[in-house]
Amino acid sequence: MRAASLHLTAVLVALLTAFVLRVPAAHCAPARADAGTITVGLTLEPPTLDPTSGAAAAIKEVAFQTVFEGLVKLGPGGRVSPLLATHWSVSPDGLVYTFQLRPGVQFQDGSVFDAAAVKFTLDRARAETSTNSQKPRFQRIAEVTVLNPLTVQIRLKQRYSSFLQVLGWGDAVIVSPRSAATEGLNPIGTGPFRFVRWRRGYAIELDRNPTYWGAAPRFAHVVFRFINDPNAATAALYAGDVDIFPAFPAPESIARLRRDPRFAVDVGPSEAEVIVALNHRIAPLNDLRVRRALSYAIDRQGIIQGAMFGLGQPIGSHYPPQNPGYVDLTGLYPHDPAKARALLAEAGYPHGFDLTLSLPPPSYARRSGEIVAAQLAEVGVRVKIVDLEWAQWLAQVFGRHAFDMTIVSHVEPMDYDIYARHDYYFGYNSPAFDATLHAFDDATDPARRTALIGDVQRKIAGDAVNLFLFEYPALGVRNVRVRNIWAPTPVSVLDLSKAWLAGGPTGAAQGRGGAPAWLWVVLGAPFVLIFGVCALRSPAAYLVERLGGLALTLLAGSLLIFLLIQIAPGDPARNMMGMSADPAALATLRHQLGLDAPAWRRYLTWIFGAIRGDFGLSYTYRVPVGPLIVERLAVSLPLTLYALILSTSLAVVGGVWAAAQPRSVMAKILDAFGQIGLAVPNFWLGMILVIVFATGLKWASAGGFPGWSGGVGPALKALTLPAIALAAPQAAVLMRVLRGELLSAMETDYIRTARARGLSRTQALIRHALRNALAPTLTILGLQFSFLLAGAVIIETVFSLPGLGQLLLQSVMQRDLVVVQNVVLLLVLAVTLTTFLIDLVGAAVDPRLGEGRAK
Amino acid sequence: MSQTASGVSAASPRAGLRLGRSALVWGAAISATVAAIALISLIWTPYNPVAMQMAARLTPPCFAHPFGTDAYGRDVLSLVMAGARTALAVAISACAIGLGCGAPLGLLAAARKGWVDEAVMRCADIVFAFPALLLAVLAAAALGPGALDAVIAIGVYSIPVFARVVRTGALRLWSLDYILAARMAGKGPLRISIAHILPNLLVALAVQVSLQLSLAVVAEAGLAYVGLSAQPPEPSWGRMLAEAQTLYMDAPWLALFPGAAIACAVLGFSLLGEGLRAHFARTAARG
Repeated sequence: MRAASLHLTAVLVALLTAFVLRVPAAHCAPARADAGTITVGLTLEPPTLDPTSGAAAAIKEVAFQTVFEGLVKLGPGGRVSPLLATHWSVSPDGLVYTFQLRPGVQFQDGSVFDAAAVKFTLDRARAETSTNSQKPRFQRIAEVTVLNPLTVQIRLKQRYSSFLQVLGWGDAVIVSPRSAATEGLNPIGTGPFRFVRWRRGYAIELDRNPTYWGAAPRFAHVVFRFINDPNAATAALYAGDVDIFPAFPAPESIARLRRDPRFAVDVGPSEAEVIVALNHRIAPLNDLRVRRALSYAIDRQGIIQGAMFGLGQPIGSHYPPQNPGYVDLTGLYPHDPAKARALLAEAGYPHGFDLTLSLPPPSYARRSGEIVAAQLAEVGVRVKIVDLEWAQWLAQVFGRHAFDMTIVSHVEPMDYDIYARHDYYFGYNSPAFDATLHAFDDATDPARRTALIGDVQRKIAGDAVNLFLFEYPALGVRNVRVRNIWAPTPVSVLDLSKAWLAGGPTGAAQGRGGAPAWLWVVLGAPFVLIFGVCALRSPAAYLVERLGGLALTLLAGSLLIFLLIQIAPGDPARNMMGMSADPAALATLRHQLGLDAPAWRRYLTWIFGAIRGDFGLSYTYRVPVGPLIVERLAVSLPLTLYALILSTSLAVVGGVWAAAQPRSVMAKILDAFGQIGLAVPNFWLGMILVIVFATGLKWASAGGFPGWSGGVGPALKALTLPAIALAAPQAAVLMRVLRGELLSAMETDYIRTARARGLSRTQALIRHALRNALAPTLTILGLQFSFLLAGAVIIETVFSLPGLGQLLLQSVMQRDLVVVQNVVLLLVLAVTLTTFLIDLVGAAVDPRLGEGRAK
Repeated sequence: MSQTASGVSAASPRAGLRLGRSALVWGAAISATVAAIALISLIWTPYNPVAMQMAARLTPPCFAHPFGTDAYGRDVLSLVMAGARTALAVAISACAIGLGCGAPLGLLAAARKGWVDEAVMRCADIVFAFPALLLAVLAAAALGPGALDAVIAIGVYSIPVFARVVRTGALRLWSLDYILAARMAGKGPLRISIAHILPNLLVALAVQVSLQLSLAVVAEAGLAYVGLSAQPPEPSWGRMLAEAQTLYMDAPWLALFPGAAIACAVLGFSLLGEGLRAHFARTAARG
C-alpha cells in the first residue's frame, strides 16, 4: 500500500513539476531598456496599414507621416509646405499642376522615389477598382504625366481649388510601385520610420528608417499600443506603459490629469464634427419642419456638459470653428422646446412619434445618445436606443442605411462635400447645395472662397440636414517627459520628427513580455510540495479515487463549456474577416479554422490540443491563445494567492483571538466585522480603498500593473490594494467559521483535561483545538480560492489590472469564443484542482476525512 | 463539513445563540425595509430616476438631493430606490430557480440513494466548479447581455446548494422510525418525500433561502458591475458603481450610496438567515 502510494506520488509530482516549469518557456519576450522608444496609445486598431486603401482614421494615425509621406505637408489653416515635392507651379487656368520632386529619396524597400512612383500612386488612387476613401476627389484628375524622373504634371478635369490640400492628406501618400500589392500588411513608404511588426490586438512597432532623406528622428523605436477602454487607458498612463495619448478616450479624467504634475494635457481643436445623422429616406425625417423641430429640441451645452464634461465646442453646421471662413450658426436653432413642439404640430405630429437611435461603441456616442434621447422625449419624440458594435454599425447604418438616427464623429478635414454625395448614408440630396459647392470648388479668389464657404455652411444648417452637436476636441495627454511632440490640425496626426524623451527610459520601455521564469517556480513549488507531502500520507486507493473524480469533473466541465459555446450565435469566420468578405474566402477560412468539422471532432481537437498546450488561435487577436493566457495569469494568480494568504492570516488571528476571549470587547468587534465583512461587495471595498489610500493619502497608485520585469517590489505594491479588497470579505467569512469550530472544540473533554493540567485557554486553543478546527476550515479555504478567482475578475476592472478576468470579459464582449472557452476551462481546472488539493490536505491533517468522504 | 453556501456554515449552536434574537430582529427589519423601498419605488420616488437635469449634474449630497446627483443630473436617491427593484427581482428569481430545481433533486437523491445519489452529487460538484461569474459569462456569450444572464447564472449556481441542504436533511429523516413505519405501510418514496420529509425541512430551507438571497444580491451586483446584468435604462446598483468608476475620485458619493445599499440588503438577508437558524436551534433545543 505504502509502496504503491509512493510510486504514484513520485510519478505525479514529476508530471506536475514538468508542467509547471514548461509553462514559462511558452512566452517570454526580453525586456527592452531602450531610451529611444516612445509608446503611443491609440483607441482603435487599424484593419490594414495602407492609408490609401480605406477610410479608418486609425490607419493614418499609425502609418501616415511615420511610414508614408505625401507630396506636400498640410499645416494649420490649410497651409501647404513642401515635402516630397520641393516646389510646384499651377497653370493660369488652374487645371495643370507641375511638381518638382525631391532628389535622392528612397522607399524603404530600396526602390527609388521618382515621378513614375507618383504617377503610379495617383493612377491607383483614381482607378475604378480603387478603395481609396477619397476616390471621388482623385477622380477629378484627368491625366498624370511624367515629364522627367523628377518632374510630374497633373491635369485636372475642372478647376479644384482645394487640390493642393488634398495632396497633403493621408490618402494621398506616395506608395512604392514594387510593394503596392502587399501594402496593407507590409507598408513601404518614404517616411522616417519603417514597419517592424504587428502584434494583433496589442501593438504595432516601427523603428527608425536608416535611409530616410531628411533629419533622423530622435526616437529609435515607436510602439503604437491599442487600448480602447477608458479605465485601462488611464491605468496605462499612470503605470508608464504609454507615454502619450493623442486622443485620450476618457474626457471625464481630463480635469484630474490636468492637476497631476506628471502629465501634460493639450486640449485643442480638431476636424471632428459630432453629429446626430438623420436618415432622409424615411418619414418623418424627410420633412424639413421635423428636422428643424429636432434641432430646436436639442441643447448642445447640456450634451457637451454631460457627455464630454465641458470639453468641446458647439457647432451649428458641418464645419470646425477654427477653420478659415467659419460662420457661427449655433444660434440658428437655439434650444427651444416650445418652438420644437409647435413645429412638430405644424408638420402633423402633435403627439410626437417614435424613432430609434443607433449608437456605435465610443463613449461620446453612448453618452450623447442618452442625453439626446432625454431631450427629444421632452418634445414628444420617443427615442429607443440601440447599441451597436462597429462592425454592425458599418453594415447596418453605413452600408445598408437601415437606421433612423445615429450619432457619429466625422473626422476627415474639409468633408462638407459629403453633403453632395447623394447616396451617402444619411441620403441628403439638394441640387441647390451641389451648385453652391461646385462654385466654391471653382473659385480661386480668396475673398470669393470665404464668401462661398459661408454659403455652404448656411445651406447645410438651413436645411437642418443633421443635428450638429459639437466639435470633438483633440484630447492629447502625455507624460511631461515627452518633448516637442504635437498633432497639428487639420491632419491631426502625431508629428514625431522632432520629439524626444527627457530623463531616461520610461516604464514603457522596460518590456511587458510576460512573467519571468522564477515567478512560476515560486508560485508552483508550494503546490507541488503540498501535493507531494499529502499524497505520501494518504492511502493509494484514496488518491486514485480522488484523481478519478478530478478527471471526471474536468471532462464533464469541458463538455459543458463546449456545448454552451456552440449555442452562442455568430460566425467566427465572418467576425475575423469583416464586412467585405466574399463567400469563397469565408469558406476557406472556415476550413482553416476547422469550423466545418463535426462537433465531436472539434471537441476532441480542442481537448487533445489543450493537453499538448495548443489552445487554438484567438479570433480577434489572431495569436495563439496559450501565451495570451499565460501573460494574464502572471497577474491573476499572484493576486489570488496574495489575497488568500492575507485572508487566511487575518482569519486565523481573528478567529483565535475571538475564541480565546469570547466575552471581550475585541470579540464583539470581530463579530461585527465578521457580519459586515460578508455583506460588503469586494469591488466596492476596492473603490473605497482607492478613495482613501490612493487619492486621499497617496500611499498607493490608483491602478495599473507595472509588470514583473519592473521589479518585485513595485509589482507587489500594485497588487496590495486589490488583494486587501479581495481578502477582507473572505477573511470575515473564514474567521467566523474558524471561531465557531474553535469554540465547539473547546467544549470537548480532552481540552478540558488539557486545561485541568494547567494550560491556559489560549495555549489549549493553539496547541490542540486549532488542529481539529483546521479541517473544516480548510474546506472553506478551498471554496474561497474559487471565489477569489471569480472575485478577482471584478477587482481587475476596478484597479485596471491586465489579468485573466479582463481578458475573459473583453473576449465575451468581442465574441472571441476561443479565448472564452479556454479561459473558462482554465478557471474550472483551477477550482477543481484546488478542491482536490484541499481534500488531500484535509485527509493528511485529519485522517478521519480520508476514510470515505462525509458529503 | 456540511456545505451550505459560500462558507457561511453551521456555526456551533453556542455561537448561534449569542447572535440569537437581535440578529433575527435586525435581519427582519432591514430586509423588510429593503423590500418596502423596492415596492414603494414602483409608485413613487423623490425624482424620476431616468430624468436628466444637466444643470444639476454632479452635485454633492444636499437638502434637495440627499444622495447627490450623477453625471447626468439624475437623483441618486431615486436611482438607489429603483435599483432595489432589480436587485430583489434577480435575487428572488434566482433563488426560486435554485429552490425549484434543487429541492426536488435533493429529495430524489435521498429517496433513491445508490447510483442516483452519486449522479446527483457528481453533477453538483461539476456545477460548483463553475463560479457564478463564469456561468454568467457563458450565458452572456450565448444569449447576449441582460438581467436574464444574471438570473440564470445565479440560479443555476444555487441549485446544488439547495440540493445538498435538502439531501443532508432528508437522509437524516429517512432513518427515523415513523418514516420506516410509513414505508412499511406501503407508501411510496414520492409520497413520503412530499408528505413527510419536505415539511420537516421547511425550516432549514427558510434559513437557506435567506442566506442565498444575500449571496444573490452581492453576486448580481458584481455581474452588473461588469455589464453582465440589467442593461440601461433599467436601474441597477452594480451598474451605478461601474458608471461611478471613472468619477468616484472626484464625486465619491456616486460610489458610496449604491455600495452601501448593496451592503445593507446583503446584511439584512444574512442576518435574517442567521437569526432564523439560531431561533429554530433554540426552539429545537428547548422542545
